[in-house]
This record gives sequence, structure tokens and C-alpha cells, in this order.
Amino acid sequence: MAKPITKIEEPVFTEKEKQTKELENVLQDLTRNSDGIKETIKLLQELHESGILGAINNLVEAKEDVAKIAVGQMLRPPVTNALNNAMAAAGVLTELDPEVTQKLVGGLSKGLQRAEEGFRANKKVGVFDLMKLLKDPDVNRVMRFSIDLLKGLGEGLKN
Amino acid sequence: MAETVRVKINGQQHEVKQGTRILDYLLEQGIDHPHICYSEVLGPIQTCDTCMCEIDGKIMRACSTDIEEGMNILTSSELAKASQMEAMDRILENHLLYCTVCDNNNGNCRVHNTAELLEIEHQTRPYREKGYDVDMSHPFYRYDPDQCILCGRCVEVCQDLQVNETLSIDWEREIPRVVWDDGKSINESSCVSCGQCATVCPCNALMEKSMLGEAGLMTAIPKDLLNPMVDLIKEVEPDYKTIFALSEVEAAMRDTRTKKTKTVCTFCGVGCSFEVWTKGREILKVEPTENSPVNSVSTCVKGKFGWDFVNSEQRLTTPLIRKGDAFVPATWEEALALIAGKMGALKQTYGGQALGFVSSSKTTNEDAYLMQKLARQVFESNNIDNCSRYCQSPATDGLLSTVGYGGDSGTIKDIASAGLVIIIGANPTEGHPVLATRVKRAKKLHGQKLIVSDLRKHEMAERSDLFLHPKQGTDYVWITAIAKYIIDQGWHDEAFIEKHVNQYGEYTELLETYTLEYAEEITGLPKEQLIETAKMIHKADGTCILWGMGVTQNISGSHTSAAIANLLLVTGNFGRHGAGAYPLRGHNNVQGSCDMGTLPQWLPGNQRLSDDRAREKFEQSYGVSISDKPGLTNIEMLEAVENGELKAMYLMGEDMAWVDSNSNHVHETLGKLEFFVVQDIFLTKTAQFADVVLPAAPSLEKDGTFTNTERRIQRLYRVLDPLGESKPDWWILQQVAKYMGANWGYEHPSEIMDEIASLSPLFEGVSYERLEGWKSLMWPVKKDGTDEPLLYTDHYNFPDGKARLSLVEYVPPIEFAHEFDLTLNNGRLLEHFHEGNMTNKSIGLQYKLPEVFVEVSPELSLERGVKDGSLVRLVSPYGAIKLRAVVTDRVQGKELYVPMHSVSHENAINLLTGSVGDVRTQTPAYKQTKVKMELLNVKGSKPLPLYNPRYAKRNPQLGVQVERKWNREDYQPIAHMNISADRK
Repeated sequence: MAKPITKIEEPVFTEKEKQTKELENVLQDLTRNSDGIKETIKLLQELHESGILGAINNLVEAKEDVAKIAVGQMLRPPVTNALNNAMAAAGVLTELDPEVTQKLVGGLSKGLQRAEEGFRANKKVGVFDLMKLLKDPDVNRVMRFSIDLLKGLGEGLKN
Repeated sequence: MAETVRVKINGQQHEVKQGTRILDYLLEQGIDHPHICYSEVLGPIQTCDTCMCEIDGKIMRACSTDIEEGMNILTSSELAKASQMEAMDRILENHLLYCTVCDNNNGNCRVHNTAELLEIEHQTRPYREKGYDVDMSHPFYRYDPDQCILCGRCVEVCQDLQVNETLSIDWEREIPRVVWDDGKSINESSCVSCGQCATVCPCNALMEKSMLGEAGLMTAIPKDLLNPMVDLIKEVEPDYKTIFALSEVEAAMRDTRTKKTKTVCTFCGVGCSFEVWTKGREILKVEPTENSPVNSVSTCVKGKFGWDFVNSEQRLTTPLIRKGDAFVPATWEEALALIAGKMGALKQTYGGQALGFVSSSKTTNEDAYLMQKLARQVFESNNIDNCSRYCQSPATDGLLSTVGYGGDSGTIKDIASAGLVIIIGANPTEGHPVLATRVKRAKKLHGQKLIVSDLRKHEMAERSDLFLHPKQGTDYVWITAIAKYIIDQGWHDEAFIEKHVNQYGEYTELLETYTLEYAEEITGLPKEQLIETAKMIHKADGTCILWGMGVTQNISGSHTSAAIANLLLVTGNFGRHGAGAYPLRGHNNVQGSCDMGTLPQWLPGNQRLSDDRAREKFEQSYGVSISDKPGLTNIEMLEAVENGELKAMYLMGEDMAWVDSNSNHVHETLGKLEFFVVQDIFLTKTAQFADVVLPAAPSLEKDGTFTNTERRIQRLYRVLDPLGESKPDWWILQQVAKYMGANWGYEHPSEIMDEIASLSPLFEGVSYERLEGWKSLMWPVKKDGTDEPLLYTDHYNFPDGKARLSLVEYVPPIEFAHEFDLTLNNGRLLEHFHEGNMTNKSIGLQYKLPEVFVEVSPELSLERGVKDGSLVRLVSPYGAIKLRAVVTDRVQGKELYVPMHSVSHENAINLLTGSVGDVRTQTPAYKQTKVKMELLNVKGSKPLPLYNPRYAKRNPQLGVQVERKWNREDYQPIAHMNISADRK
């Protein structure tokens, strides 16, 4: 006569057997990924020695508090202003014609090169030199560009 | 054929079928067009207003406007665009876009996607809270009014698809919101937790609680951190494009973590399919889609929320071997070697007939097929049966003897399109919830007629046009009397009978006895009701009869089933849409387990064991000879154990100890087995008697197919890996065969299905490729893959292609001694499944329906002094149970009702039921039980918690009633005109 039983004998495995089994699984995982693991160990050691790992650990442990502080900081008007500025600036940048920007940046680097040369020559510039330079087509172009830029800026400030 | 009309859409000429909705056409053509509230299933709701188009200069909704000849439709003209933007702006007043930290940010949020499609950059109406608290009261889902856009999709499904009629929008409040009943908390309302509102919610207003804080990468963030973060985003005011970009990155990241796998529900026989969203082993939610062939977006509480059992701590995770008075965990090798050794030796000594095999109606077709293969090939025994013996065998028998196929005549769509539905002895709102919704919908929206015959006034009975309450066990008589009356009136379908039906003459002779007067006397039903029933059948454009255990679990179960088929035959209700016989299969795979030949007299593919050619085919394939002598049924197996002929049993996925009738006796018998193997996911009562218990994997942990009540074969995919050392049943059975020396060599269930198809003409064209994803097939399936959703259109399954009227007679119910004066009805309730081994692991389900009880009528309560909560003892000739009473007018007079979901020695119903069974199939006559009631304690706590929906009053209305929104003083129309749509 088989009586109904509900008792299941536990533990099935001793703690040690369980550990051995778990360890086997872990070892299998390790051997399958040995290269990556070795590198990771090296990286962890470096991080540990430099103290970074400890700092990160502390940071993660306090993650919610830290996040609260961070978000709290970000909610201060100067920061939200900065964020808004950054986004406004980003918005303006997207309005610029990339071709013009490229020209401008190219001109700037040429100009810097020239300036560097002049700086090395260490020559004095007199009033007469200036008058003469105004007639130089390259300088004249910069003057024209600067005046127009100032005009545009003035218009923008008017609104 | 519908005519085509020519229209211009965005300047291009199109030819479109007349009567097509603009939005349907746009979507079909792959033209992106904003819309939130509309869906194909629900039709135009007209609340969100985002689908506006410019039509001949006027602004109209794409969802509710049919395409007409010569229309000039512009979907993104300035006027159209401005209207769409205005609509979206109104929506965003109600909904805060914190998508990145929202659990609904899964790529399928309709509000998110529509706002993005519209390229919304800013809103003019600022978001504002509505001033209502979040409703967290319900165990499975919550409502956040502050996120609700008032589209009313939830109301539409609740009112007109699920037809539970709980939700509405209170449009007249200063700020409208969704309300439950007349403004109750969700938990105290009439909500039956089907979850469809949460499924169709286009945003995060209604959400499954299992998703909250789990679905997103950052949504578990506590409130005191989350709120400042949301504030930050508001303060910084990025344009919405940035929000969308961020949230999409987050959605893409969570998509790599959230796994979505299609499965088929493991509970009842309706065969709902859906995706299961998982994160590791955690189930995030069940998500039905409009692709699901049976249920579309519908589910019931069990399918949507009842899956806790899969991760239950009580799951068996290792084989167990009986040693003394305890089970000792063992390795698979040890368990299998022991089984092969013991059963092999018994087979050697006594032959295969000393071994019995019980298969399950819960496992897959492939599992079931292998169970019969194990019995017939490896152990050379026809003693193979399955648990449909306890429920559906009589229905199958009745159909086999009349129309030839043991299955539903058509699909659930046929039931929905019938002119008249008659439900006999079944409670589909609780036993087959999603199927019931289709009947309720057809009745509410299309005027379908409904007759219910039952002892108990359940929900369908309440909704019926005519409720018949016959004396227990007498259905055969009134059904047959109606057939006679119809013929007497000349309302029968003579042409149909002439063409399709045999034995009509003999049948009319049999009918002589069954006059209305006789029927009135035997059944107690007034003559007028019988005539009314006959008239309704006569007038109806198609009659479907649905029946369940109230018919089959009687000693005349098979005869009554045949009588139902007879009635349908004489009225020409076979072989056409919207008509036919529908035995409601109770479990996910009752149909399939029988189709797979886990029956003592049937081979797979519904081929008779006595059919020499069929048997030879299997003999060749299996390499053994198969006896043509039918084996033992479940019931006969236990008898054979009693008389010492059956020595060992191998049982898979069935808690026979509680499910078979007369439990005390069954327990005694199981204890007498020499060797007993049980394969299950839990240590059930049955498993407690076993010598070896094998840990099986539930449906979510395996691949395979189920066949639903419509004969529809559908694939389920592995959602999770088997827990611990548990294994899919097919794997286990294959190992047992292997240890017995048979090498089957299946690598995947698809190969098993190929073998089934090769041996069964009925499944010739079935393959896993043809069942991929949401695809399904309804047998018989021809080699080219053509299936047969509607049976009997050109022949009945007999050699001459004609149906046969059954000539079996009425068998009156069992008589009980006078002292057993109360009729004890029993069955299921919505929240739990079967004996409850799976659903009683769910905290939420247990909370809503914690214990079984006995329903007592108000009359009897008065007479016996039994009150709500009184403790009573019910005593039958076979045993006694003790439980609390619920006084309700669902039952009347001296009739009681006890739900069956108990596995307790205190109150399991089958401690009371007897051993007598159906005259042809031996299915126990569970419903023919009489008891006496002893009052143990008048005062006691109510066993049915007050927050169970059965106490609440529904709030029926048609749809969301958008007209009330339009009537609001502050409503500014966007569309040129607002017309209530004919959307059904």
C-alpha cells in the first residue's frame, strides 16, 4: 500500500556539494571566456591600485543619494540656464551654413599662420603701413567681412 | 460584389472598394496617418480627433468617413495638418511626456508614436493634472487619471467587446475621467480583471502592475528622485524631438532585454494566443494582439494575469523517488533506470495489459502523441486514456454517432454570427470567458438571440432572452420534445434531411414518446417555454448549440449530446455558417489529446483501432503488432487495479486523485498500485501516491502545438527555459522509451508533428512551417495545407457522406435515498482553473477568490437558517465536506452549487461525487450528486470577499458615448461635422 506522502527529503545536496556544483558552473563559464577574463582581471587590478575602484564602489553604493544631489544641483537656475544656453547655442549653430563656416575656419587658420610669421619677424607697423595694407585685397576682404558681421550683430540685438 | 469608386488621395487617383473607411485604406496602402483611438477591432471611436483629413475642403475624420466617388482627400494639407496638431495639443494637455522614464516606452505607445509622427515640437495648452488620485486598489492593474487622454478605448472594450460593462467615461465632470461602475474603486467594482482595458490603452494610463518599475531601464527610480528628474526636463524645456530621440534610445535598449514570445494559453479550450513579455524569468505582461486568430485583443483574468504558477517555489525541479515515507531527490538517470527496470519487468511478467497510461489534456499534441506511442509501441498496451474521459467524451461520442467528427462544427466566428445561440449546461462567461464575450457582443450589438438552459442563473442566463431551468439530468427530454414539436409544426428542413440525413423514419418513430406534455412532466419546463424555444429556432437565421459538463457529466451525457445533434440535423443547422454543434472543450488541449489517440479505442488522427488498414500503418511505423482490442478507460484502469489486473500506471499531467469522482475511493485505489509514475509540474495529490515523480515543464517552457475547441491547431513557442531539472513532457517520454531500448531520436517537436501528419490523413497537411507565428490550421488539413474551418459543407464523416440521426433513448438520472434531499451542482468559477493546482499559486487570484463555498438559495437559506458565512457540512453517500455558505439567487430551491477548485481534504467536491458514469463513455455523472446539509455554525465570515466582482452592479451602456463629449460647453469641434458612427 502506497500512502500519499508530501515529505521531500532535504537537503538533497550538502552545502559542500551545492558549492562544488556552483563552482563547476562558474569554472565552465571561466574557461569558455578565459581571454576576456584575464584582461578584465588586469583592468580591475589597475583600477584597484589607483584607488578608482574604491571610489566607484562608494559611488555606486550611494547611487540614489548621489543622483538626488546631482539632479538637485542641475535644478538650480544657473545650471538650467546653462543647459538652456547650451541648447540655444546648439540651435544657432544648426542654422549656420556649413560652407560659410568652412571658409571662415579656413581663413582663420591661414590668418593665424600669417600672424605667426609676422610675430616672428618682429617688425614694427607704422601708420603708413596700415594705409598701404588697406589696399591689400586680402586685408580689405577681412575689413568688409568684419563690418558686415558687426552690422548683422547689431540687427540681431535690435530684436 | 462591392463596387469600386475613384477618388483622389493627395493628388493621386485611387480605385477603392465602396464603403471602405479612409483610415483603413490609408493604412492598407502603407500611408502613415496619425490615429490613436481607432482600431480595426473597435472601429471608429472618434474621441482623439488626430486622424483629420481635408476632404473637398472640409475637415473630416479618416476613421469614420467612408470613401465616396470623386472625393478629393488630402491627408497633410495645411488645413489637415493644423487640425491634427490641434487634436494632439488637446491630448497633451492630458498627458505628460516623460517617456524615457515611463514603463510604457516599449516602441508601441500610440500616444508617443502619434506625437512623433506629427512632428510635435511644442504644445500651446500646458499639461495640467486632473485632480484625481491614481487608483492602485486592484491586484493586477492600475489607473493613472493624470496620464489618461480620455480616448475611451478601454471603455469600448469593456462595454462592447468583453461586454462586462464596468467602465465608462464621466463626460459631465469638470475634468472627465474613466470611472468604474458608478465611481467605485477598481477593486470594488464589477471588473472581472480580464485586462483588456490595459491591453488596449494607448499610453500608460492603464497598466499591468507587473510592468511598473520593471519594464523600463530607469523606471524603478523612486518617486523622490523621479519627480525632480521630470521637473528638470520640464525646466529645461527641450523640444519634443529631443524627448522622443532620448526615449527611443531607451526603448531600443530595453528591447534587447525584454523578450516577447508567442504562446497559446494553457487554461481553457478557447485557444487564446498572445505574446508573453519577459525579463529573465520574470513575466512582465501578457500582450494579446489583433493578430491572435481566436481572441484578438481579448483575454480573461487567467490568461492575462494567472501565470504566477510558472515561477512558483512549489514547482518540481528534480526527479523524486519514493523511499520509505519520504521522496528522495534523484538524477534523471536514476529515475529513468528505475522506471524502465520496474515497468519493463512487469511487462515481461504480465504483458502490456497489466500497465496503464493516462495522458493529459493540458500537454501539447506532440506530448500526447508520444504518450500513446510509449503505451502502444514500447509497452504494447492499448490501456491509454486521457482526462477528457472526465468531461468531454460523451459530447464526442454524440457527435461521432451523428455527424461523424468529434469536434466543433465551425469556429467562434460562426457562433458570433448565428441568429440564435442556445447554451445548455455550460457557463461560458466563467469556463470559456473569451468565447462568451463574442456571444455577449453579438447579442448587445447585433441582436443575436440567446437561450440558456441551466440549473444555475449564471451571467449568460441573466443576459438570455429565455432562461430554461429543467430538472437536473433531463435535458435529453426537452431537446427531443422540441425536435418533435418542430417536425409536427412542419418547421423542419425537409430538403436538408432528404439530402443529408439517414434514419429519419426511425427517428420520427422514436419521437412518438416525446410529446410536450411528457417533456413538461419529466423536465418541469412549462410547455410555453418549450414552444417558445422551438419558435426561436424556427425563426433564427442559423442556430448554434453550445454545451458543457451540465450535459456530459450525466449518465445520459452521450445520449443527450446525440439528441442535440439530432435537433440541429432536423432543422438544417449543419454545414452552414452561423450554425452547428459546439461542445465547449474545457482544457487547452482536450481536443488535441483525443485527436492524438490517447484513447483506448482510437489511434492518432481519429482513426479507429478496429480499422485494420489504419492499424497496419501504425504497426509498420512502430515495428510492433498492435492489438485491435480496445484498452481500458481511466475508470476501467482503476477497476483493474482493484481486482489486481493492472499492476502499474504511468500518468502525465493530471491530478486524478482530485479530478476523478469519488475521491476517497480513488485515493484508496491509487495506493494499491505496485508501481506508479507521475509526471507533473507540482507534487499534486496524485503525485503523492507515486513511486517516481518526474518534474515536467509547463506550456511556457516548451515548444509544441495545442488544438482548441474549434479544432484549431496553434503553435506555442518556448518563453522560458525549463526550471531547474524539469523537462518538456516529450523529452521525458522519449527518455523513458530510450531506457526501454527504443530510440525515437526526435530533436524538436516539429519532427513529432511530421510523424503525426505522415500517419494521419486528418493532419496530412499540418507542419510547423504552416503554423508559424500567428498562423493556425483547423483540421481536417489536406496535403496542400487547405483546412476546414466549417465542417460538413459537402459531406458528413461516414462512408456514404450522410449524417445519421441517433436513435438512443433517454436515461433518467440516478436515484438517491430520501435523506439526500439537495441537488449538488458543481463546476468552475472564472478566477480558478479546474482543481486549482495552477491558479491557487497566484496571489492576485487567491485574493479575489480565496476559498470554495457552497451557494445556497434564498429560499433554502430561510428554511434551514443558513446565512452568508455559515459553516455547513454536506454529506453524500460517498463522503462529506465542510465549507461556508454564500446565499445567492444564482441557485434556486433545493439546488446547491460548489466550485471545484479545491485540493483540500476538507472541501474538495469529488469527496461527494459517486462512481456511476455515462452509459456509453463511463464519464462520471458528477452532476448527479445529492447531499444532505448540516448546519455547523450559523455565524461566520463571508467566504466570498466583498471586493469580488460578483457583488457589484454593472453599468451597461453602448460604447464610450462620444456624443456626450461633443455636447460639452467647452468642446470646440475640429471636424466639419460630428456624427455618431456606425462602427460595429
